[in-house]
This record gives sequence, structure tokens and C-alpha cells, in this order.
Amino acid sequence: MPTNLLDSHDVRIEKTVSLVNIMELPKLDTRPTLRPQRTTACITHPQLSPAVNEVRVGMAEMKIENKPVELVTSVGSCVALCIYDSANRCGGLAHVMLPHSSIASNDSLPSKFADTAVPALAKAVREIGRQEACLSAKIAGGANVFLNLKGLGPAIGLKNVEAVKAALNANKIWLAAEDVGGSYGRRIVFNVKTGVVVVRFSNGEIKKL
Amino acid sequence: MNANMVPLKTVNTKDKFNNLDILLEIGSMGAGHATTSLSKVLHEPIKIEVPRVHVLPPHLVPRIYEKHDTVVAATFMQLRGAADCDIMLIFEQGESKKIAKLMIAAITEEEATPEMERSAIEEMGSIVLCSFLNAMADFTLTKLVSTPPQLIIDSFDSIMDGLLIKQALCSEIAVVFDARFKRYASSTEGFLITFPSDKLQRKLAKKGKKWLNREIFTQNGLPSDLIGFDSGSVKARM
Repeated sequence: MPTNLLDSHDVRIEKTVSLVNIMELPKLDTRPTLRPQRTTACITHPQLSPAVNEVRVGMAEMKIENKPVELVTSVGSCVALCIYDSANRCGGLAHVMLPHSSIASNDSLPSKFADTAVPALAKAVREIGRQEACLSAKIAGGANVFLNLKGLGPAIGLKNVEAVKAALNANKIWLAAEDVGGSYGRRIVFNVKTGVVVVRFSNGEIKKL
Repeated sequence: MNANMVPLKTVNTKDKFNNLDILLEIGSMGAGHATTSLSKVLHEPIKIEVPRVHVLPPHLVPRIYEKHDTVVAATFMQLRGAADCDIMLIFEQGESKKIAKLMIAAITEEEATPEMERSAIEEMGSIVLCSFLNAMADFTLTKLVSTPPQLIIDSFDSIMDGLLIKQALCSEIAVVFDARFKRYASSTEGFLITFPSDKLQRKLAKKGKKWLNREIFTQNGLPSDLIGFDSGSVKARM
């Protein structure tokens, strides 16, 4: 039965094609049409979305936003710490450079060190929201870009990651996702409204956290 | 030259020049030599910008370059011995590929494998960085021995990350020597970035001051540092 049906269908199509005069076909509009920007496009290709503003977070910096923007940073051995507040749909990103604030003295940037960045960022995200916050964290980075760097152990990236995890534990913030280690640098795009983190490696690989 | 020439005034550098000026001067000399060697390798004229020395906190260093996510090929070297120093030669990936093609011009494009390209870029970096170090070492009469070169292809910021973490561990202020150059035929710049450690800075500055402080002309009217030469032969040359 199904084969017969298929056959008849094919025949019908052939007939209709033969009946149509080529000259009467409507002209195809070759001009480029303006298509509406799809929101899904910005998740898979963060660079192709002009609709969403990108805010760059520099080294050892911290930025908190409650507008629909994307926080962008690039990390190698450093760790990008994203804290998202799902109740108020806001969040912040900190570029963590070093594991412990005991290394340097009188530093004015709390976001530079893992043990001070987590409480500072969590406090700032809590302050920006109106309702009671519901925090979750995502981290990425801690790669080992240099094979052997004299004067710096090979595990500085992993030390950073461990310090951030310990600080998150101490501050009772849930670690929702992580992408750490490896030997390639990462570009991190954190959508503050949705809480989605897109990690793009320098070799072109893309991961969604 | 007159044998009874009055010696010129000696320059008192103790308060006139600070260490960074001397470092910049020595570095500029090295950068000049490095550019010359690059030009010789590629058989092409190379433009060079006047080198600069930046003194700033380590986390602000990426702002000098503003190359955040650009994928670059960096040849990385370090100094052996007590005086530590990180040196990098950075080209954008496309530019480095073009340079590699120029270097292996005898071979057809199909034969130029990615491995060969990598090797060519590494070799070019090694030549340029070694001539940079050689020039500085010759001038200051020091011994600067480097580790073998290491090629890293990654985004600019992630390469700088590791080095800046190291700088931040050492001190709160990083000193960056920054030289930029480009081929006449291309529009993208190459960077020679050096992070001299405190020890190397002091060492180079000390040697440089010694050179500047010496009596420029001795009694018979010849530069005093031409010790190896017989004075007669020098006069004959002049």
C-alpha cells in the first residue's frame, strides 16, 4: 500500500510541473530581505548579535548589571567568575587573577583575588536586585597556556580554580557549572538576563554552560 | 685628530638619568637590532616605532595593546640565570602565516605544511629575540642566555594572563618594554614585549650608567673604551 501511494504522489507532481509554463513563473525577488534578529542566534554565535550590548570586563575587574547586556572577558590562567541571581534576573562577572589576597598587601581591588572576589561580587549582586536573591555561580578558565614558565608553577590555573571553589563553598553559593583546565584560552560571554554562559576557545570550539 | 684636545665635559648621570631612561635606551638599541635582523630574514624593509617603557599595575597592561580576543602567534623566551626576564614576539595569526610563507618561499604552497609554518614562525621569533638580547648584552657587557623558544598560538589576552599573574606575584608594579614594528607591505603591527625583572633592570641600569659616566675622551683624544685597539691603527682609520 505505501509504495502505491508514493508512486501516485510522484506522478501527480510530474504532471503539475509539466503543465506550468516557464514564462508564467513569478519573478524571484533577488534583493536581500531584512530578517528579524532571532534571539537564539546570540546564544550560539555571541559575536553575531548586534542587538545585545557587550560590556568588556578587564583584567582583575568586576562588573554587575541588571540590564539585558552580555558581560565579556578573556581568560587564560585566570578564572572568570559569573554569579547569577535567578530571582531578579541580574548578575555580575569578576576576572579573578590570583588565589589568595595574602600575596599582595594594601590592594584596593577585591576582584583580583579569589578569596575576596566571591564575597564582594555576591554582595554587589545582592544589592542590585530588589527581591531576595537566589544566587548560583558558573566558573570558567584556569588553563595552562605556557608549558613551562619559570618563576610560576604550572598549576597556577588550577590553584585559582580551587581557591574560587573553596570561596564559593565558604559563602554558600551553588556552583551550577564549570569549564576549567586545558591548555587554550577562553572567551567568556555571560548573558546577564538569562544566566547563560558561552565559552569560546581560541581554537574555535564553543561550549554552553 | 689633535693629540692635545681638551677633554669634553663628562656627563654626570647620577641625578640626570633615572634607571628607566637608561633601560629604554638599551632596549631601543636591542629593538633596532632585532628589526634589522627581521628585515634581513624577510628581505623587506621594516618600519619601527619609537619604543616605550610603561610602568603600571600588571592588570592594566592589556589596555596598552587593546588586542583582547585577536588570535596571535607568540614566540616566548625567558632568560636563564638569576636575572629573570620574559620576552615575547607577537604577530597576528594571519600576519605570521604570511611571514612564514615568505621564509619558506622556495617551496610550493602545497608542500608548506602547518608544522613547517609553525617551525618557520618559531625560527623567525628566535632570530629576532636573540638579536635583541645580543645587542643588549654586547652594549652592557653582560651575559644574557635565553631558554629555547616556545611558540604559543592563542588569543592575546589569554597569553598575557599567565605572564601578568607572574608579574602580580612579584610586585604591584610591572615594567613593560614595548616595541612595535610592521612590514611595509602589511598593515598589522608586530609587538616585542619584554617584562624585565627588578634584578635585570638594576643590572642593566648600573652598566649603562657606568658607560655614560666614564670620561668620554682620554688624554690623547680617543674614546677610553677602545682598550682592545692599538691607538695607532685607530688613528689610521680615522
